Amino acid sequence: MFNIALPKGRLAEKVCSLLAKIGFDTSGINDDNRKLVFVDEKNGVSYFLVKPSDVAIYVEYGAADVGVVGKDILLEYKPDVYELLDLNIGKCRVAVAAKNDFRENKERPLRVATKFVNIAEEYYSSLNREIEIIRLNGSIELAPILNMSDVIVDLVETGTTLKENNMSVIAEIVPISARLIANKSSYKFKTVAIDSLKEKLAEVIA
Amino acid sequence: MDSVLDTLKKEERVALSLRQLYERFGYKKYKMSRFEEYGFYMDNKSFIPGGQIISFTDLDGRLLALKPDVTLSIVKNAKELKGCFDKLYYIENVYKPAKGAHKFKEISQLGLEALGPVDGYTTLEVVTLALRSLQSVEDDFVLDLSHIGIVTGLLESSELPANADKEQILQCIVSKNVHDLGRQLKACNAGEGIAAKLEKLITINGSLGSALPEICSIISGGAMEEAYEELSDIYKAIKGGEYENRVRVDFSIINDINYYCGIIFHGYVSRVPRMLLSGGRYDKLLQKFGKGVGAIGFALILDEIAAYYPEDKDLDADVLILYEKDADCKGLLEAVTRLAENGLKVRTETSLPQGLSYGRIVRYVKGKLEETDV
Repeated sequence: MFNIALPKGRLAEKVCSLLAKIGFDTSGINDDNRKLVFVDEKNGVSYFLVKPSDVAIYVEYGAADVGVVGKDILLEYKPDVYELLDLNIGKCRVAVAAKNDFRENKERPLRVATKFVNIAEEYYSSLNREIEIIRLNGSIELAPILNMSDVIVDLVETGTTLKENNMSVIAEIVPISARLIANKSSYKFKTVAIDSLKEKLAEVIA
Repeated sequence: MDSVLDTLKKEERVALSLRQLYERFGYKKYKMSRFEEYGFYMDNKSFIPGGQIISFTDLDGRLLALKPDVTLSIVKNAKELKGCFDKLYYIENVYKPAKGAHKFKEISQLGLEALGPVDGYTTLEVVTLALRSLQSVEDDFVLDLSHIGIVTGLLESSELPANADKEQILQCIVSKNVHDLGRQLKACNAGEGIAAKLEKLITINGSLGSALPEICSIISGGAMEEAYEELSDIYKAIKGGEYENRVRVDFSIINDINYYCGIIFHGYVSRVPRMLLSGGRYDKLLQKFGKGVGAIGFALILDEIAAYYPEDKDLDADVLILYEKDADCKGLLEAVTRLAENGLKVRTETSLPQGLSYGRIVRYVKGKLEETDV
């Protein structure tokens, strides 16, 4: 028996359809109900639905043997896990965005609103640019509109939200997609099961 | 004696049995001072991940630190025994930042170090003691072996373009990330040959015996050949024995390459989701201290055992004795002693404590124990 941590929300559906393609029963997983654990007896798998940013924590602490998580979370929190496969789904990018009429004043630190504090700090430190981080948890686009920040660092998928708010991407930091991760100890003791899952997934995404 | 051991916690039993094991192999217990000069750690900051240390000013004005690491202190104090070994083991607490929390944590470690002219036998002895240490925790265990010579051999290979981001490549190796490694190598226009070798390095994963032919297929250059020979020698010694399938190869283990050289290893047991044992050969650290000898050792994190092997405590006590405040103390003590000598856990109270569980509850009345239905 092994446990898989899946991210609630948009990505869950895509991951479930991938798992279904390799013969896993994901029919019980439905975002609409409040159940958190689903068991696929035939394949000996339990699924947990958790907040996307918590998937890596469940895997790192061994509550789940494997998980599916966005590369953004791996870059931000640097969990001590194996990153086994790029699932090529949930594709987007972490980018810097600003209001369309934004002009950078290089005489003072740049005010950056983001939930990706580490990614933003690493990016601007590589440019040798001094910044002031404003940590937010949601609706990041609001910060420049209210003049609370100069720019935002956030996930951008289609850019529609930015467009609707008269904003645009001014720099791309890193492309993002969902990754299959594994707990280091679980991988030692459930190598065959985890490798087989990885190989089957690799086949269906190829 | 068994009943005495039964009262110990799992990590205490492990520590006791390993002390005996290490003593029998000629290792001496090493007790170190609780504090070290702060400057000593500052001079060797790169050996301490994160570099964060608890410091304080002693009464004489010296700046001291609570030790964040044991190996450094052992190396500093090691005597140079011309051609002979200083073989030591320790059980010590170290102080490091806790992951994900802005505070320090006390970590209990048990470790072993062999300082001297490390040869094939010493390496095998230390690897075997590491295996036996893991076995003392649980029967389901593995020891992952890597060799710095193989990993740096490929990274320093002339086939890898000079503009390759070695730091990023190393990160991909550590997280077994073949997909991002491919992107990194493509970005620096690395040739297919080196790309295939690095990918192989990441994916080699199996018992030492089954991995050796695969390692053989990626070696190029003298340093890698020597490393391969060292791994082969270990395999020859464990082949056919009880540890043959317990020793695996995993090149994602990268300890600090500024200090380590030769073989490095990480140990896991199935119940603990994190690495439990870590070690390797660290001649470079000794050379930094001008002690021209070799060294190999490992440390086992006792706290991890404490966290993942909770004691089965269905009952807080087998018998709870309730007594009146004016009870005959001598008689009560005799009654408690009799039960305790029969191997029962006994607790005495004047009123029923809340939130605890007992096998039986009795009252001590007029010199006798009487059953009660409280």
